[in-house]
Amino acid sequence: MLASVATFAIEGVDSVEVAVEVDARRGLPAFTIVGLPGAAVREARERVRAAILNSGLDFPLKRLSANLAPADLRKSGPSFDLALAVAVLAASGQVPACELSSYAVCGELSLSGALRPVRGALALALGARRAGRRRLILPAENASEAALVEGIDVLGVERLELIAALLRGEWRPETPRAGPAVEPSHEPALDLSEVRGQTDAKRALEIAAAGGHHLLMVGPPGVGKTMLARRVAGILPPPSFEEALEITRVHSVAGLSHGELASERPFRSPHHTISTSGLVGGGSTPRPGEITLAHRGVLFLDELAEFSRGALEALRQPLEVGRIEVTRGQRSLSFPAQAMLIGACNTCPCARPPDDCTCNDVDRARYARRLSAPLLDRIDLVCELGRAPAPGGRAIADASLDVARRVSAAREMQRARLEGTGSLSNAEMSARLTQLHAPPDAHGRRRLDHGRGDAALTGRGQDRALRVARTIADLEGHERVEAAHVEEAIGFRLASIGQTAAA
Amino acid sequence: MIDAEHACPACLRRAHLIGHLAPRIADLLRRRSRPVGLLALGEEELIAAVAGTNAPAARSFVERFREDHARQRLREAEIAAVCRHRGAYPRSLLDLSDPPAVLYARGQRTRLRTLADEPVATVVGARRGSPYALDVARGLGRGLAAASVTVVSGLALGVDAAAHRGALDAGDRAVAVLACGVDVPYPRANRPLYRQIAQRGLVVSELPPGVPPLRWTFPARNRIMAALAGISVVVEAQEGSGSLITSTYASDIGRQVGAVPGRVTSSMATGSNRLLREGAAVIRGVDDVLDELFGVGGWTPNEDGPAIERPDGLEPELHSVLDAIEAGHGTDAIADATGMPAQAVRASLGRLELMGLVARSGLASYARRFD
Repeated sequence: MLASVATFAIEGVDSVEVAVEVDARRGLPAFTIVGLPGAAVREARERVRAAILNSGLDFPLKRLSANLAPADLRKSGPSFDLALAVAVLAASGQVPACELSSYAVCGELSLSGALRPVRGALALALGARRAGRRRLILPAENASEAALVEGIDVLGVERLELIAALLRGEWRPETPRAGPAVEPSHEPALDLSEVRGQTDAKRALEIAAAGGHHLLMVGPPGVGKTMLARRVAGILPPPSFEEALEITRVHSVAGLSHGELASERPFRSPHHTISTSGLVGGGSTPRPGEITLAHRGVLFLDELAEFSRGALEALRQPLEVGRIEVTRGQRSLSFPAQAMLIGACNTCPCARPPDDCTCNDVDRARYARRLSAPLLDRIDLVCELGRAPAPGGRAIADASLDVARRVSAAREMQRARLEGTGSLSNAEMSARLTQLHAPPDAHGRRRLDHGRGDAALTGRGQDRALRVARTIADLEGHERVEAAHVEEAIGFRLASIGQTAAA
Repeated sequence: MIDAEHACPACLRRAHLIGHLAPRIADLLRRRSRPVGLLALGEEELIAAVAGTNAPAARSFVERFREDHARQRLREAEIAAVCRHRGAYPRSLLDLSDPPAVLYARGQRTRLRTLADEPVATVVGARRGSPYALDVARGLGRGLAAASVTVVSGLALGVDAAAHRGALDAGDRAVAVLACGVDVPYPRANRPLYRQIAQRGLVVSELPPGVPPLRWTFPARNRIMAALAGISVVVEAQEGSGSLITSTYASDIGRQVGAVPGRVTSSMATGSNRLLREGAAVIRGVDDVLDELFGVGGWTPNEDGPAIERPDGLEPELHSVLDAIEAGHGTDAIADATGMPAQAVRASLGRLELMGLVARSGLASYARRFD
């Protein structure tokens, strides 16, 4: 007897349908799996056999052939266990085969028959809905995440025998609760007011957060670069439902999710020894890299100049277009990578305050050259941190809540303006959108067109400056981009490096 | 117009012979770095001293030397040649026991005369200078040029280049003495600087065009730098640095020697600090150099106005930001100094950058821009 069960395999951050067919014949008892199974899939035979027997069901003493179609797609991971078990049960007549066509089934089995959670439940549910399945059976722990997808009936099950009961129509699980599990707290754990001084860097951080621009902080060690970067989470607005779905989907595929909708933007800070594929994604089965895990959030690269050249150069494409194409073997996958980059580096390799610096000009030039011009060109805001001021004195700095309020008002203006364009923030605007939504007034236009020497702006440079100027105007609630906004944007921009005054 | 005609045939021939024998001299001097006495020898003695088995070839070079061809090539390359028998030759060089036979020059050749008549200071130092040394060298170059003192240096990386840049910031009084032909831009990294000096200032050398730099040509060049100037200032030098050769030459022929104090705990300034211990003038800034050159209070400020010009009609806000940048402040310090909010400081920096008055220096901070 032949039975077929639909399951889904993770491919990048999407999922593709895989049909699990099991044929049961008289013959010498055997269980073979074909269709390019990986090591974990071949081992599934033992788990399936033990799980069926330990669930009080019968494992047929027949010649069982399982096929995973399409046969040219490499299948890896344990999420095919459950589909194989259900197909075996259907092929041996223990569950009605006719019911199966509307179901999709994913899950890992333990020998006891209990279901273990799988990675990427959200992506699996989205794939199942797109493939037209009406019901999705998943391990109970994955159910609430998958239930975020509307238009598909998610059934969370704890044990294999309950699935048999479910398919026979004898039992039905509770409908899983979807939606954000916890209200995001409005009290940020780390507050901007804890960082003394550094008004310039705080201003740059606020602009970067308001428009999603990339930021580089330069200064001697111990003045608060890392402190400031860690506080950016407290001033970014919480993700919208759509953004939260994207974040959850990526994190779930990477096995980082806790089965709930993300309530905060991700903040990723990989160490500078990270490999290129660790940063942008890769591996023989392409997995998302840090830039993708930081999607809709922040990628913080401390000691930017210490990262390998290859890793930094690979960031150029995702920083520009917000996606990264990873090609491995015959497969090419596209990962989302709309992250805000915050880099931090020292002014010179000895990393001492300017007065104690022992670096000579050759050392300093070599250090600056580690950051390539094309990479720096994609970073719109380069700010400088001076020595931290002595305790006391100085007016109280803005608290994170005040800054967050301004940032979220600016983001709201952008969202309304860019409605329907596919872009969510000023940093994502294309050249066409920039011309449309950020035209400067006459004074601002004159500033842009009359730069002298190195400050003369190319067309691309003008666009980049205008996007930042648009954000600065948004922060002030101005509809029009004015000269002062353009000037500040240009002040933060790193013009052609190397052609500098000291060079 | 000073041109290739300002060298007598015999001197021109001797200079070209030295160029021809330069590789032989390098072989001979492998152990002793200074060409002591060699450059003072006449043609026949020089050939006897260095040519060895190549003596016949060298003699035939002398016999076949075509003065008119040499002059023609110099004219085509726009290079002037002056010998010590002509008025345009800087008299100060005659204090050397082995003055150059011919001085080749490229650039503003009228400056050759000012080299002979006007005050000159040589500023030299380490190739790998600390940021402090580079700042001081640039400031010295700028201040001296602004005070109408011609600034001589050797176009080397580091301190030399900073001194040249300073001189160019405040005018055209920049003179580079090369250890190779004046048409050889060495070191490569300073090629843009070479072009600027060759255009606005003056590039000189005793070696004929095309001669590459050799080990011995550097100390030989240093004796010219020492002789041209009334004072040689060493900004920062480790023991064994070539700039100490310049100061030794300078004191040998009775010129002033000055040194900028460096950190006593740093190995980068051991040579220049030793000079101070041995009695070199302490140079804390431009005024100290001027006092040494003209006697205390002997220098009267030029009434032509400040050398570092600012455009007219600059808004007061931009003026104060520019002041703060020239004082070397970072962005936060500018805000403190001017009392402006951070965003206004950034906007002013953007304005000044667009006007070409400031530029990013390195990754973060801004610096005043002159050109």
